[in-house]
Amino acid sequence: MEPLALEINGVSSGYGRVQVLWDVSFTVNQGSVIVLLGANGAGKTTLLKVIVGLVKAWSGEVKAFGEDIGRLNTARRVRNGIAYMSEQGIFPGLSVRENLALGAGRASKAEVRERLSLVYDMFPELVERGKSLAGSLSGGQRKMVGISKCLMAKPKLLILDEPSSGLSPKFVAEVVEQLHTLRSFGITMVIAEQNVSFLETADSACVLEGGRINFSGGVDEFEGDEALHAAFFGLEGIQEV
Amino acid sequence: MLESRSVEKPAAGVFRRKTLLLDLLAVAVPVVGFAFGINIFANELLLVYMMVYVALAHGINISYGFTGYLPFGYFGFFGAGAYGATLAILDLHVPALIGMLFGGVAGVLFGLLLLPLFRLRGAYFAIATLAAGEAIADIVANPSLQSVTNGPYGENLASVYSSGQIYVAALVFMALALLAVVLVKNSRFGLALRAIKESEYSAAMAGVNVVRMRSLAWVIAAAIAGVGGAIFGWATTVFYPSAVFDSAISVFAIVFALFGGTGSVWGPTLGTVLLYGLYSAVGLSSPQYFQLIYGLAIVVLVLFAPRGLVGFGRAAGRMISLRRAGANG
Repeated sequence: MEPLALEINGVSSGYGRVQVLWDVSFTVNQGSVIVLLGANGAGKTTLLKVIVGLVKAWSGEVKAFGEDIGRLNTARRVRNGIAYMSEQGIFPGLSVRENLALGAGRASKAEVRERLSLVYDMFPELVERGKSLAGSLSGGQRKMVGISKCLMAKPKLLILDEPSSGLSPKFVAEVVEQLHTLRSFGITMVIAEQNVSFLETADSACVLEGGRINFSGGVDEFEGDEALHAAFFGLEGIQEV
Repeated sequence: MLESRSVEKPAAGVFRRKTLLLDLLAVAVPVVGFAFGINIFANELLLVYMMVYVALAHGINISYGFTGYLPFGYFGFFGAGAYGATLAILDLHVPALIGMLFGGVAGVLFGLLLLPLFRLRGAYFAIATLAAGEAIADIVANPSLQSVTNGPYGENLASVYSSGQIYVAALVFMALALLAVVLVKNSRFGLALRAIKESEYSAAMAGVNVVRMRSLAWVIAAAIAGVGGAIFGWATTVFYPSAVFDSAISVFAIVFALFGGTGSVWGPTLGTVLLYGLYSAVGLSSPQYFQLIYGLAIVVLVLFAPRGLVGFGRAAGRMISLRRAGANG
């Protein structure tokens, strides 16, 4: 049995008195990629925020690499190897270089240099834009900065919230390709998406509907379930995948 | 798990030596200016107050310019510092110079007391600090506390007055406050504060311990105000609670910082020297026009340089270099 990178057991959560997640459970193996699919308001972002500690779980358990992280604050979870890219993903008022430096956290200068080398290798465009304000970049470049910022933390578990949001189909394809590359590094990824293109890079999928897990299984299994597919993405969705 | 393919790429650092040197110059110029300014301009008390305000504006710079928290009640730390130092000097009989440190401690203690206010944000935070400042002013001025604070009758430090010591203390204090800002600006701590100013959530997600970082910034700003209040009280010699717990102190420090430009080392110093200079010149020569001229200066700032003089200078510099590039290309 492969070691688990993430275990979500019976998590319920929400904001104030409004419950958003009901008894959500799933697991992610180390080095694998899972895509959380669901429509707007399904609870994808809330679930990701529970994993990184930005929203408290009302009940249930969140374990990362075998450790119960439920009581750790976000900064500690990040230091334990969990990186999170929100929809915005960057600090628009800071330069690209400053964004990347923030991602590196407490890393030594030598480590920062090594990680920058990796990031610049993946995203050569960022070399020239180092001094530019991240907010002045295009949507695609912002995503690059967001992903790079996460990579600077040398994550073991990378959590991405709607990496395709605001991007044209061409840029979405680029992001998917970049995630393929990251996969080759053995980084475990949890991707919340509405765009089925991301299934290309995933091992498994989870479908959230109204805060509950509606489907959890392998990508092949998901793609084979035409009724589920049609219910979420319509007939066009089936043809795209 | 994530291994670099060791490709030769520019290892761009965030903190640049050139920027650090310029920032250190922003410390050296006012320190040298005030050290020798006394030989040119003989109003020693005015220069002491100006140095105190330079430091206060930089305290605002740390709290608001870097971290994004605007403390309208900044005068509370200032007053706490003035009284903390005075009580240490008069009751504990510590030397006046050491008493200034007690002022800083009093400011920090009051700052720590207000840490729960960080549950609030924006205008709510600003107004809550104002209320806290007014509250401590009322407590200190309470006649029931006459045996401790002398209540509404104020304090008298005439027995330890020394103009030379006060001037040196103000100069050293201003230099240390400026150095603190240079350290903040050119460190990971400062970068973390700027990230918090951008978005607390995003900062936390980048591994920044938001609570610890903003508390530390708050404590530094409170210490600056505390020592500033102590030196102000020492220089003023006889002061009443209304003089050191005056909301105008916060307003001036905030306006000076914003006028010069927050988030920089030059900005708050420039803003203080220009506006406090104008305040003193107009207030002494034509007090009837004071409000008008001061108001006009602020209106001009808001309209034409909303990011302060430093921001205006940077924008003008960018425009000139763009025009030059256009002319050459």
